[in-house]
Amino acid sequence: MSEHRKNSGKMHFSIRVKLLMTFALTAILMFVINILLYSGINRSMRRLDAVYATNAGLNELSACLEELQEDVFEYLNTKSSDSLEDYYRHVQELRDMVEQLNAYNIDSEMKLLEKDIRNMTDTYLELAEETVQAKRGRNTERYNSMYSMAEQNYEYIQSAVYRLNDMQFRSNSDNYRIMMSSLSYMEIVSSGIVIAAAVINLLILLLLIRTITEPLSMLARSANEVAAGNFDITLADTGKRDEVGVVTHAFVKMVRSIREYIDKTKESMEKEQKMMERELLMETHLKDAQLKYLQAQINPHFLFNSLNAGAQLAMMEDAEKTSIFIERMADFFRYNVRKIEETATLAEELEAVDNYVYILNVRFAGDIHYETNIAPGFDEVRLPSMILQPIVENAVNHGIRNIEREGHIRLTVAPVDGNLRISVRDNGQGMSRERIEEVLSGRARTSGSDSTGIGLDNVMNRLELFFGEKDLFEIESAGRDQGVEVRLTVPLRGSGNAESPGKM
Amino acid sequence: MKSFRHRPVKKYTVHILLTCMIALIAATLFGWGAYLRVLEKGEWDDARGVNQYSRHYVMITDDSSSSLWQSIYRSAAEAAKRQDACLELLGGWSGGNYSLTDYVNIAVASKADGIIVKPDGTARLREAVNEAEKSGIPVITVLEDESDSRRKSFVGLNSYQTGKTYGDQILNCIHDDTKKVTVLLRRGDAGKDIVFKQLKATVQEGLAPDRELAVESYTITEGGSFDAEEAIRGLFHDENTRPDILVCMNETDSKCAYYAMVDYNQVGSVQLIGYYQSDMMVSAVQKGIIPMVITLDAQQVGECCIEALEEYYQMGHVSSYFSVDLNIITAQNAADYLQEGGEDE
Repeated sequence: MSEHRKNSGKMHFSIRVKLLMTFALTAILMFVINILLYSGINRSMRRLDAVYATNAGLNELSACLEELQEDVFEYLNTKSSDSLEDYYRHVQELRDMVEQLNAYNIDSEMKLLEKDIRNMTDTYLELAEETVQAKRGRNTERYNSMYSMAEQNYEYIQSAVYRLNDMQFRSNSDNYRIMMSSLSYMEIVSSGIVIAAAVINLLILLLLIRTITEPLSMLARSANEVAAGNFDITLADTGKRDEVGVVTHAFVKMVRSIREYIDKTKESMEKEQKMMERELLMETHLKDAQLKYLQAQINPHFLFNSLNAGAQLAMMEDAEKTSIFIERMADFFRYNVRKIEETATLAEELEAVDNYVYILNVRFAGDIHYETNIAPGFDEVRLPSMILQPIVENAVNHGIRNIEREGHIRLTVAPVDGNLRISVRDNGQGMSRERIEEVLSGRARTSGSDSTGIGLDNVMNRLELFFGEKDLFEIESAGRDQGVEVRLTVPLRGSGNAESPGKM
Repeated sequence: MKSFRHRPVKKYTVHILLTCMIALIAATLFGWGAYLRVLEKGEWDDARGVNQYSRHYVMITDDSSSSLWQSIYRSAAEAAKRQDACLELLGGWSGGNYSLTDYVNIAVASKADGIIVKPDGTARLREAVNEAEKSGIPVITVLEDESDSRRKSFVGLNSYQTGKTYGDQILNCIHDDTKKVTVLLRRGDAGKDIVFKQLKATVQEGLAPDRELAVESYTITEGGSFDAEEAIRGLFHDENTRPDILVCMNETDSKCAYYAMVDYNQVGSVQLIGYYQSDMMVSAVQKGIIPMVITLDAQQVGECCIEALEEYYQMGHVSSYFSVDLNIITAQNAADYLQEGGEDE
């Protein structure tokens, strides 16, 4: 995983980096505070050392002076070369020490005392030197007097050192007190700072932990919701590209795809449900048609056999017309019986209409002038069986039967706007608008004793069910004696012809 | 539809945190700075603001803690600074066992540039002064003179003038019942005899010829440290020796006499003429417990000492006497001195 990446100008850090950064920040903060505290304490300790270093220096000077005085005494007493050697060594040491003391007229009691000690020591060293020289020159009187002066001076110096030591100790005590108070002050300040740093660190940690746990708990809540079956959740993107952000993103994607899948399944189930409903309806209508058919109380096989027998008989008697008539009648009824349960091709339907019109023309001595205008290439278009015959039957029965003039029926099949338009037009009595409404709404009872048994409403319903569309059936009439045109629209695409919806 | 929304960290939370952090850093730095300041404050108070001077004078007295000498030292030190010199008040060494002579010797051994000393009248001191002069260190005597020595100059009161001033003030205090005036003198005080003689003469001259008044001196022999106090109490203890007017010529004696007078319930019956403007004495004058305090101008004394030394260094010689004035504090002007004292202390 990349440590961080820039996204729309905003830095995104992984949790690992965030944690590291927080701990590093904490550590650095504490480290800096500790460094400050330690350096402060060190400073105090150094100052504390310095406070007493001055006292220690004076004590050394005093000790050296004492040894020098003893050396002088020893030399005077014994005139030993050892003591002389020690004397010169101590003189040098003392000079070195005195060099450290103040030599200026400074407006400070201690500094002036330092200068006094320095000058007195010089005087003492001169006296001691004169004493030693006098002793060497064996000038007894002089070295005695010099020694007593040196001794007095020695006492003065010791007294001055003691006094300076005392003053410095007092001043150092003050310094020490200040230092101790500064240390205790430091203790309070540093405690305060450490506590404040800890609190702020805690707050930062809390904030960080919240940024990590908040999306996680949000994720958990939404997961619970999903587990309870509610996919209708929206999960806001955290906007972060850390580990939790990645998980959230994946979860959002998952929920979305599950939801899509469910929607799809639901849709197909609904579709299936609809189809089943449609089939059920079709079955109902079929049952209705069959019932009507049964009401006709015709035993088809007996009828067909009888008709065939009639046809053969006519043939034997050379009654050709009769034979053809009976044959076509047999064909018509056979189709009628056979096809009522199945879909049919347009060609089969047209043939059934032909047979029917032939039969009627035999019956009514050629009163029906039936014309067709069939666009080629649509023979195999499938549609419910027994659709066209009832329409033509209707045109005959209610259109042209009771008119004085010649009755014409024209059947046209032509493609219109990607559909197949089948039109049955007569020049009969025509229909009023109200009647058309009644018929289209299925309220009109059209069947009569002369009917083949299938009403227009049955045709309309079967068409709708078959193609799954409405308004496929239209009736148009210009008015009384203006004839009627019934138009069927057969969709060339869709369920009707793209794939067969199955049996009717 | 249920909506889950991540609550983003509020901007002001971040701001508060940032402010806290900045405040913490500021507090750390401020605390650190304050700590360093506290620490620095303790660093060698002595070496702070010190000035370097070209000459180093030494002042020596056996009574360096008294307010008179503190005043003289202060004014002398101020004057010295103006003349590019610093002044060291020697005293208190070796547990206070050193004599004035020792201090003069120390000053000589320390190669001081000048010595201001109040002599104790001893021969050793005289010798030490001479020794200092031999080493090229000018010596100025102050308040008491050591005229036999080779001191360069004397700063102090004129004994005759002092005696007259005291005498005049005693005359102011005398009334009908006054029978005895006692003047406290210290054995070592050179010139006190002249002062007393002049005082007595002035008083006797001022009295009516038939008026009888005993003017006596009472000399305190300084055998031990607290002899003066005992002697003064002795004066009050015995009714025969108790004076009507007690004259002090020393700051310590004045205090002792005052306390003794109060303790022996002699306020009103003994009139105390005090010496030097210590707060206690001035306040007593103001309240009318004692009639007056005679004081010398300490500031003038200190300034004259330095003036003498500077004159010596500049001219190679110096006049042998610097006279200072005596002031008389009475109930009328006591308030001024109290105020001055307050400023001084």
